[in-house]
Amino acid sequence: MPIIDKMAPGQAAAMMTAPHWSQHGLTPQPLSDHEFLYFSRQLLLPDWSEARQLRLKHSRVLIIGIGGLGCPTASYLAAAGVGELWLADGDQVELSNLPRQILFQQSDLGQNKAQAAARRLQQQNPFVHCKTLPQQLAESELRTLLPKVDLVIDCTDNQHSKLLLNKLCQQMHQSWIGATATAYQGYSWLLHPGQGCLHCLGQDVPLAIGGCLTQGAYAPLLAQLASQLVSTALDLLLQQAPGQNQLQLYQHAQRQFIRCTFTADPLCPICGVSKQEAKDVR
Amino acid sequence: MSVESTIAIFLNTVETLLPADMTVAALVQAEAADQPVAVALNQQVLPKRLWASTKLQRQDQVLLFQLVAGG
Repeated sequence: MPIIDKMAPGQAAAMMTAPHWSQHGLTPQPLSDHEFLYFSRQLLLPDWSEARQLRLKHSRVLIIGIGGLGCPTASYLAAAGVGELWLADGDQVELSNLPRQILFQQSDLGQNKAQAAARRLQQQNPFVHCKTLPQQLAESELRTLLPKVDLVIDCTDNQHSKLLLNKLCQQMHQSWIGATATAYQGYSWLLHPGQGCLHCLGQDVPLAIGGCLTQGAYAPLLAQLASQLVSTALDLLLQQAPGQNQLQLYQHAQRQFIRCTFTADPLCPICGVSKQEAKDVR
Repeated sequence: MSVESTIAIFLNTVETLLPADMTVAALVQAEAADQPVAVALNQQVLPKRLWASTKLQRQDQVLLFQLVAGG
């Protein structure tokens, strides 16, 4: 059986790049009284601290796809105190989006999703700053954007975007998270470079055409996947994430998730090659 | 099929009897031929390239699931 690469505790954190603000030699200011009060219930958690809250405040997260997954993910990240959200989506808000894409309302119909979401997030959260990217991101744009953020989250609804991010994050040695769902099927992932990827999973095969458009969307599943993304994102930003790649798979019959690890394929053209290159560099 | 020639595994958490020498590839062919699926064996995602060479063992826990792209 193939061997799974395991990282020591803390190694995953070391793989995350230093927060973007620290790369410029900036020192964060302490929380204001207003911020202390606003985040007081989170600050009361036994393992929370002002230092943690400051780290989130000075974090920058790129969310690609502001739909059924992206809306709740952005909403909870902003509520947790992530200071800067970059929101990317080229689609417009449609009537059929409203039951599960919780940042939108009737008056947003026809508006760009990233821009409509940013407006709502900034109304609801006084401390978040949103940057909007109202387009489907091309590979060249992603190559420019990825080094500028502390974390990228895939909430897209299409295979092409997911595979593109999978390839770029491997090539650029970035840990990343994402999720996918259609009808009652869905899963989320945490992927560190060189330990297995979406290509190893088989995500590159032709999938059923249409996705949610033809098979429907189950809002409670999207919400649960988004919660997993937020929880893992906070762990990554606070350098507490597991060092091993993970897949959380929804089993509708049992209404539960099963957590799996990845078996890295050394011959994978995406993460296997990347891993070899990393060895060569050393 | 004699008792000796079968093994019991858990397929998507349901106990299932299979031929003793069945590979993951044969199981996928029997359960989801030509469908976009992935396999996790004992809570580890198993790359497709290894399906044909991986024989199922007694009490294995196999998750066979649809690959999807939506959000």
